[in-house]
Amino acid sequence: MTAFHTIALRPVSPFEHVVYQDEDVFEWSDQRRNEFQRKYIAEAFTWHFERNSQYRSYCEALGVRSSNVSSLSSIPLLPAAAFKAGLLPSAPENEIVKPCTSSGTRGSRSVVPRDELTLERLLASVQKGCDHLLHLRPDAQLFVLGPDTEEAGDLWISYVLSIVDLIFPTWFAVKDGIFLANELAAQLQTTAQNPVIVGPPFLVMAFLEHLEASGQHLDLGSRRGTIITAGGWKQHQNRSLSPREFIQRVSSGFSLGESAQVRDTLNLVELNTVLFDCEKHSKHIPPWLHVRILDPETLIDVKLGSEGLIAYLDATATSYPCFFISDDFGYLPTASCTCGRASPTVVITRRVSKLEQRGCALKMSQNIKATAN
Amino acid sequence: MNNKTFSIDTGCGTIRGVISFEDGDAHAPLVLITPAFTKTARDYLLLAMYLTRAGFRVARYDCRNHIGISDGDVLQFTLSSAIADLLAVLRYFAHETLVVVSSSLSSRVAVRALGDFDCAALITLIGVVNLRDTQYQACGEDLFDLWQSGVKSNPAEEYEVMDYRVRFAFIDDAIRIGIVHMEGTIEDLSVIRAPVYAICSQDDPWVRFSDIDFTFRPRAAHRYERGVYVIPGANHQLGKNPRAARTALCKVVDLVRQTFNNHKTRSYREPLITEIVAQNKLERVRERAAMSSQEVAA
Repeated sequence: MTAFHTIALRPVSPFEHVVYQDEDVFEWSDQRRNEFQRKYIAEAFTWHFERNSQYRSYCEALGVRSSNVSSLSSIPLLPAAAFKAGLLPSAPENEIVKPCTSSGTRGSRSVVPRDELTLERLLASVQKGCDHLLHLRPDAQLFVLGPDTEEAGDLWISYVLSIVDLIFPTWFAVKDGIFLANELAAQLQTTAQNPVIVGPPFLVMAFLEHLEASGQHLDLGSRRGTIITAGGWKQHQNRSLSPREFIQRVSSGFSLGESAQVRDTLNLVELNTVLFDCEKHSKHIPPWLHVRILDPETLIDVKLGSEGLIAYLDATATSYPCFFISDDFGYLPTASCTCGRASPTVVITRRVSKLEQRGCALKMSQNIKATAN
Repeated sequence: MNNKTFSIDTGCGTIRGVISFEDGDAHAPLVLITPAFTKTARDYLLLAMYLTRAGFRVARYDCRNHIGISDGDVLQFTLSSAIADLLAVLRYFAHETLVVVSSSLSSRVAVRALGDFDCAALITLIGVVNLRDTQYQACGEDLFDLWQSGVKSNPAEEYEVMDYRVRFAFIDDAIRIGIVHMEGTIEDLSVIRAPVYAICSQDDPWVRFSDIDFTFRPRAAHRYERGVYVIPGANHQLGKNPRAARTALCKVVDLVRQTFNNHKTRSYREPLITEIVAQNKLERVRERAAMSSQEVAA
């Protein structure tokens, strides 16, 4: 008789199942999501408290002397500026495979250390968004309005888009600092189906205006084309359009049949999750990410639906504590999204001003001094 | 990683592939990876990196009548075509004693083809054993029933599976060559003259663990080792779960090493995502170069 055996290999953990495999992450009930976050964000906090001496010192200065927290709102939040001051690693140096930098459009750059697992989970959030919110077909081809990571170095957005090349073929339209608009147009003309243009809104507009000025027209609507914006208007605020104006302009300019073919994304170098617009242009929050909206003066949670500083607690990062107050204002809508998905959404309204930044920093400093006293 | 492309003119189109190996391993034992439906050689880059780092050569190819750089369109895809491709590739490497690693639907292809061709071992990854059930799970309706009952009768009629259009000719072909049911898989397995190992996911709705377990259970006709390795909690989309994928890939390397136990292999470091991204970029260049030369030839 033949030798035969059945052997179990390393199992998939419940957290891994949600991040990598769960097809319904945007359909969870509030109760299920809250239970999940209470468990896994708390576990993530324990992980970083025990391994990250800088973060632990910060927590202790705020009076949190143990990894046992009574609620998610007890988890100390780092100011975004903390990532500009240097690395805050929760992993040994030899496990950091990528120090990720921001663009530094407001002056200094943030640097965030990522290890292998943290990067894998970030990519999983991209996969989830592509599969369940964007519904990109597997034969989609991406055209990025930016340089690839070889040219951009550690620039975070370029790095993320380079990783996306693992999922979809990706062509980068900026080489040696030059935006190859004509070559991009030629590439798009020959792409039969499912072209996806990805880039900051000001470059999408620049490309559209270039086409119009040169008498060219790209009909992306009939080829199931998609425009995905990432990175915001940055230093081009004076040319910025409201989201509605932008969608109308781009839909018309590229002959897109539906506004659903224009989507925005949100990712900060400090955040280990990419948030994607649904068909109704709402950014859905996956269950491993808890979003708080804080009063900028008291740093206490505001009433649901009210505007405040956006804070993120992301359980997927293992190499740095992804618990921070961002430089954005926004709110959590009270009503469910009209797309029908149950997951909460977040709306970004504006960037924090320098005056508000100073106020926030002052408040955090006062919190630390109050605890010390 | 060194890459050397190869092409095989079948008389009905060309199969294109690549052999990968690390420096110094140009004569190492060969592992042949067969592509699943909707997958190309590039999709097995990570597996290739694991195996080459462990000291083996890896051959990957794109099926004809499929997506990728081999000839033909996926609309013409059938299992007979895929079996013919695998046999052509096996004949191309007939001078080698190789291990075949096949995943998903290509596992069913390999189990049929290797009844006619010897190998050192067959390793299946989330391998289909019950085509009818897998097709039903993937499409949401039993197309075999629709065909056999006469509701559908035009082989040129198209349907969509996994976002790709194929024809009912696929269904007709599978029925004609007897590759639809689990019983056929058991019969095909019984004539393979090599160890066969199945790495599978416990919670895979497309390939039920119970079907794998039943198919691989020892029967009087089995003369070679059979083994089932199950990943608790994993599903069919191993490629989307890097942790589970790494578990499976490490087991593949172990089984290949076990098979080629006379070959001196080395310990290896699992590839980092930055390395995978860099290598993937080279693969994209390879694909584009192959497509460009086909366009020029056309």
